[in-house]
Amino acid sequence: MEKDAPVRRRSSGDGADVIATSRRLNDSKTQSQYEPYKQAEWGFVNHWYPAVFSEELEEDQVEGVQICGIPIVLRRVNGRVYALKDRCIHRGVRMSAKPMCFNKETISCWYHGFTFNLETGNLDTIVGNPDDKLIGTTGVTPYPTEEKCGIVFVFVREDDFPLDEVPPLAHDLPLAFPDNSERFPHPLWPAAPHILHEDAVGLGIHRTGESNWRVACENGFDNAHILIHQDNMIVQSNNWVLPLGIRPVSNDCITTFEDDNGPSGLMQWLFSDRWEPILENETLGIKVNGVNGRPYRTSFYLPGVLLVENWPEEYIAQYEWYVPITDDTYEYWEVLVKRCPTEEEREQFKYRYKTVLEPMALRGFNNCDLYARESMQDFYGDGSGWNDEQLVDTDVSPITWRKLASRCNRGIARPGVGVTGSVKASSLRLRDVSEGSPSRYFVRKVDF
Amino acid sequence: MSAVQSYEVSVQFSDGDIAVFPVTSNETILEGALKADVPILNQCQSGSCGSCVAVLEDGEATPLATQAGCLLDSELAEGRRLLCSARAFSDCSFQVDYTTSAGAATPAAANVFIDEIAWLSSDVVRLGVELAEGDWADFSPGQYMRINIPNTEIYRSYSMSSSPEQLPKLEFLVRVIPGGLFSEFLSTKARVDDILKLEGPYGSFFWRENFRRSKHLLIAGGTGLAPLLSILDQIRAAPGKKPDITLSFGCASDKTFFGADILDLRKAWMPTLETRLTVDDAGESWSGLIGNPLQAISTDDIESDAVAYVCGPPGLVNSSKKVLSDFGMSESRIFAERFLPE
Repeated sequence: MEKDAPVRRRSSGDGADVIATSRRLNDSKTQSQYEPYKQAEWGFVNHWYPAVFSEELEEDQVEGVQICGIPIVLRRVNGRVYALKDRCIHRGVRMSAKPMCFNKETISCWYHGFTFNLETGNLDTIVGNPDDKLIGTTGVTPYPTEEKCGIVFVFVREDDFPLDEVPPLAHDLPLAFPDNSERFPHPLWPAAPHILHEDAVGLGIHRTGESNWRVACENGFDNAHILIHQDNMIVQSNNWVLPLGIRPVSNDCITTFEDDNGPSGLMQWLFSDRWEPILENETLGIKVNGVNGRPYRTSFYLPGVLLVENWPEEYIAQYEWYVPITDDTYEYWEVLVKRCPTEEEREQFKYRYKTVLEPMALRGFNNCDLYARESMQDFYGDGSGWNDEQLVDTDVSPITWRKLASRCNRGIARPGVGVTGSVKASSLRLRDVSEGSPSRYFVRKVDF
Repeated sequence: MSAVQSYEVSVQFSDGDIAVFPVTSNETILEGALKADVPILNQCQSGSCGSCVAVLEDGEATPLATQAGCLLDSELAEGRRLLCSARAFSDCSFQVDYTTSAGAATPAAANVFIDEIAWLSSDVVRLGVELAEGDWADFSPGQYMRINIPNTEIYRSYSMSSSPEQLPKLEFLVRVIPGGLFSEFLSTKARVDDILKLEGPYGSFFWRENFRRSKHLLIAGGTGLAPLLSILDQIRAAPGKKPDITLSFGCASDKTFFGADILDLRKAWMPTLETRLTVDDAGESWSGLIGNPLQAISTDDIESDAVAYVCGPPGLVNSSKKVLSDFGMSESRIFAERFLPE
């Protein structure tokens, strides 16, 4: 320290948190219980996430994505998908931006030819510098992959998360039924299909939302949010009874679980006497007019996976992921899963999906969710919303999730450094916006 | 008088690195090591803090007759030596249980601003500070800083209760003693936004990452809880499976007990953490255990690969070392720090 230099406060210092004293559910004591969740702006790492649909990665195809601030390159070779950190150790270029592969075992950086082993990530050679002493001494992080139900999953890990501790994919997926039908009975609908069922077919879409992944995921199992869906075509055309809201009326309305050999998550006992559907608001003179019951149930799992049983039709379940890309963008995955043991059933499901389910459910219905989440972003984006929100009893669902996530996550992602989105108004991001293709999930390929 | 002799001393670090350096017969082994830039942890250089302890594997090295060291006779018999208070009488080899990088964070001076002075009980204050612009202080969880008492040349040592993850913020737990200089300053003069000077990090009591998968036994008395909180938060932040952790924490009486809310939060955040709370002297409303935190530990808590971190008053530390050894734990897996009131 220089003797005469003035001692200054850090300019980045944030002021004291001010907690209002109104009678809201999330007082300072409740908030401190989910402090780790509040820190997880860039997501939870060391978990399995969907990266691409199988059909988005053909043999020999290379794609780059970003999850939890970690750039990842995928290449399919002999049917198998390999995943490496998509940042060349040399100058930080993304290999996926201009795929260059000279054999089945490696991927080369298109800039200076640094060539990495697909299996281990090791630097195997440098195209124009094959005797360099760096070769064999360094490399990029490899990520385990699994391909199920038409989805490629990647275990997004910190560089030093031990490979021998990588849990099975099932630990980051919803509970399976009928295996759990006794534990969580569902008298009003048949057992939900599961991603890992051999005959399961998954059809869906993924797209980028401009909000933090946490405000995105909390929308899906918030039982008061269904108000935004009242006017949706799928609700009105089917004359469904969609309540104005669903209130918790019992202290066992949600069951959390931390299974040693399965996922951590929460189950909401919807369509039981533990939740009360609100069908009328006398103050406002509003009534729900539908006549056809539409029972469903939501459960939610680490690292941010939603299962909606019996939705949008019988024998179908909707799965959703809110995969953090940066702290202000996430990839919204909507997948409908149905068990189709025969080719004929597969074709029927695909036809139904294309003609009705994708346009009316995944787009028509869920578009409202996408907008609703983005509407919260300004409030939560600078961190103030976590302190200033005033929650009510229906928010028992997100609060339970925040506590569970604080406890059962396998790691809090560090803020992205040297990656897309770490500089919010970078010239590249601004150019992408000005060209009408803002923050994308897939890498922008170089074309020359 | 015999002529000055020179011997070759080697120190093996836990990562396998070996440093070899010359030591003369009229200097301490630590002096020789520091001349050769060998990263031996040290602080007081007078035999009292215990930071520079090493295990003599081969050769002859004896404590200075003129200086009282903090090692027990049994520790000396096991070959432990304080390098600041030992001379070589032949070529020697030592082992230390930390890596070369652990000692490499050389102590530095830094300014901090006071953020918080929170009374957790009638005699414990949580002191929250933030490093000033341009200043930095890396440390390993478990280590301590020396804090300058403003307008004096006097320092007091306090372990961080925060983890390195929280830098540039630091937190300390301070036991307030009537008449203690820093206590007096904290309870009467200190205000939020005041500037303090500190120096560090110091200490060889810190989390050993190589044992991170082992069952952890954490035993703390009073503000000895501080470095163990830092270790807990570091374990939570470290990648990979979390070990089973039993934390036994005790205070003198239920009237001075503190930290129940802090530990409840850690339990909520860490499924593998179990806590046991003890006081020696309890009123009727106390719902925890009676006794000292060591008494809450039994052989059932010891697994073959367990590792223990003990921090508190000298009596607790000494008896913990003995009892845990009697339970079958290897001394090389018991790490301890003695806390003295200021």
